[in-house]
Amino acid sequence: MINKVRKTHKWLMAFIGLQFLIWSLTGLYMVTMDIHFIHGETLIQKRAAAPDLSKVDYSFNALLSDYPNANAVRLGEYMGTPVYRFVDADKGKLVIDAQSGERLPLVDEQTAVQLAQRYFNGISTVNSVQLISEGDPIPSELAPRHIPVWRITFDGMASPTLYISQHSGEVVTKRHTFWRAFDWMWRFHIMDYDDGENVSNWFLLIIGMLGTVAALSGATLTYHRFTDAKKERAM
Amino acid sequence: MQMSGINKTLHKWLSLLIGLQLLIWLGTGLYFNLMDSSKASGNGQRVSVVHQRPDVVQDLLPVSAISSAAPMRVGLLWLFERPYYQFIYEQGEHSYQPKREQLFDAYTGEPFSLNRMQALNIARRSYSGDGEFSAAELLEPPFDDYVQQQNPMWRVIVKDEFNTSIYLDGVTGQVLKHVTDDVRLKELMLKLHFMDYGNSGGFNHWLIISVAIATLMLASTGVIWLVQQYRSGLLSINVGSRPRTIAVNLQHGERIQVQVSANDTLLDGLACAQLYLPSICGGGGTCGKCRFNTSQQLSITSADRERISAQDLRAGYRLGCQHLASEVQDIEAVFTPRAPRRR
Repeated sequence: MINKVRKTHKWLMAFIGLQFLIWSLTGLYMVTMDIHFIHGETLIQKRAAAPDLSKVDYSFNALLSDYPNANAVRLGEYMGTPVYRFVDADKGKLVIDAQSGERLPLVDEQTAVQLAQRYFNGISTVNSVQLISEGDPIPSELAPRHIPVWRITFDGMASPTLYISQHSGEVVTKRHTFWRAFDWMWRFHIMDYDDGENVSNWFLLIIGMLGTVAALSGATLTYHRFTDAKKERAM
Repeated sequence: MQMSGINKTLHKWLSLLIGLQLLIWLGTGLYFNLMDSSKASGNGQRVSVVHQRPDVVQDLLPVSAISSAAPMRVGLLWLFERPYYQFIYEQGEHSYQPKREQLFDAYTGEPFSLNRMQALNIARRSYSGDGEFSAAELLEPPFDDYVQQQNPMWRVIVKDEFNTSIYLDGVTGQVLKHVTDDVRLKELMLKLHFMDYGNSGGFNHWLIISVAIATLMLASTGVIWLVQQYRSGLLSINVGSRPRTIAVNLQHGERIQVQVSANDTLLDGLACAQLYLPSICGGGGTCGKCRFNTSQQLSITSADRERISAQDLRAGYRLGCQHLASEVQDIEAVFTPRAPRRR
């Protein structure tokens, strides 16, 4: 009997043992790398600049009468000026100068670089700047709803990248090599090698079930080794 | 002890140490693969809450008139057709991280906090089922139903078949989560998969890191073992059974011809012919009991070297579980009268 269990363990593992190695390696990466670091939280300066409320000459009142369909209005800061950011039911995402009430133009390249350098936590030079707008190919790490955005990559081992909304001037997402690597670890962990979004894939199901049988047979062998073998030796 | 012996010993002890967690990982992993994700989201009875606002809005106080510390950001939100300024002083990347904020009535400038009735009202409006509602309670973290959450939340318990609990942001009343038994099951599975037995809410803790290292070693020693087996010719795939006759010299000088399958190990092949070499481990190359002797020049596998003395190896002793029947023609062995333990 134990012989059959041993054969099951050996032959199943001969076919899927490599996946166990992959599960352990990818799992180890994911648990040892702090998830907040992975998500690039250390790439951004912790303290965002606060708006100077005494400079707000264009009030919420004025804003609501000029833009009655404004939703999710937030008063924040942009390049030293207090600004309103909101979504207008008709006009889309808008940024309004809270001093003058003027609409701010879309963020240009020079401003985008300045913003990126202000947000970026650390000292590094900008390596590349790229505008991604409607119709451009969108990298998989960027959600399409964020475009148009400036993609600003800094020099450095982990090639830190900030995506800055052309509308709001805010960082909409960021990436670095460790996050990109984490995404690959995830894909290999759940055996979904294209976009890593489908945990319910049949490949994982089959390998997972065979893996469970292989592990149970291994557990039986361990049990046998630590019980029967001892008894026999004592006899 | 030789390298291969260390490898097998490590594999054995590691499996004892972390085998249970490995099975838990496989079981919970299969659960995530098979679970109904729409049920596990808890949103089966959830509808979005739209706060109406009046057609005409005027006479909002300017934000500079609010007596408060300087905020990082100011939002405008509507509750029960009334505008409120949301002063955010501190906020993390994720909404569950600790934050500091305060609502102010945008007409009067007075600080505002939701009361129980208002919280209950919002919770009701977020729910499309027909369960019976309990009173709303403002609770401090930690929460069993939402381990990551580090801010106070309103909780409203609904008596329905799913045991729904509705959680709202403690300050703004925003609906954060509907927790049902399906959600609780998923959270339990996540807790087991992340080994989050200390309720850290995440998977970056020392316990899982040490077990992950041990698991990597278990998998590596397993792969090394397989490579050793492959090198010893014990992992070759041969389809069908090729019969082969070998000569076996028994203890009392008796010599018999035995037909065995060439693809089996000598231990298994002889067992099929009711000739049982002694064995405890059942063919793992670890107990060293299934010895035979031959005058042929057989290769020495790592398990042979581990379990048989150099002198005996020179004398032609090998392990029956480490050599295929196809390798030998003429052997000498001592058999046990019965099959090694059947279970």
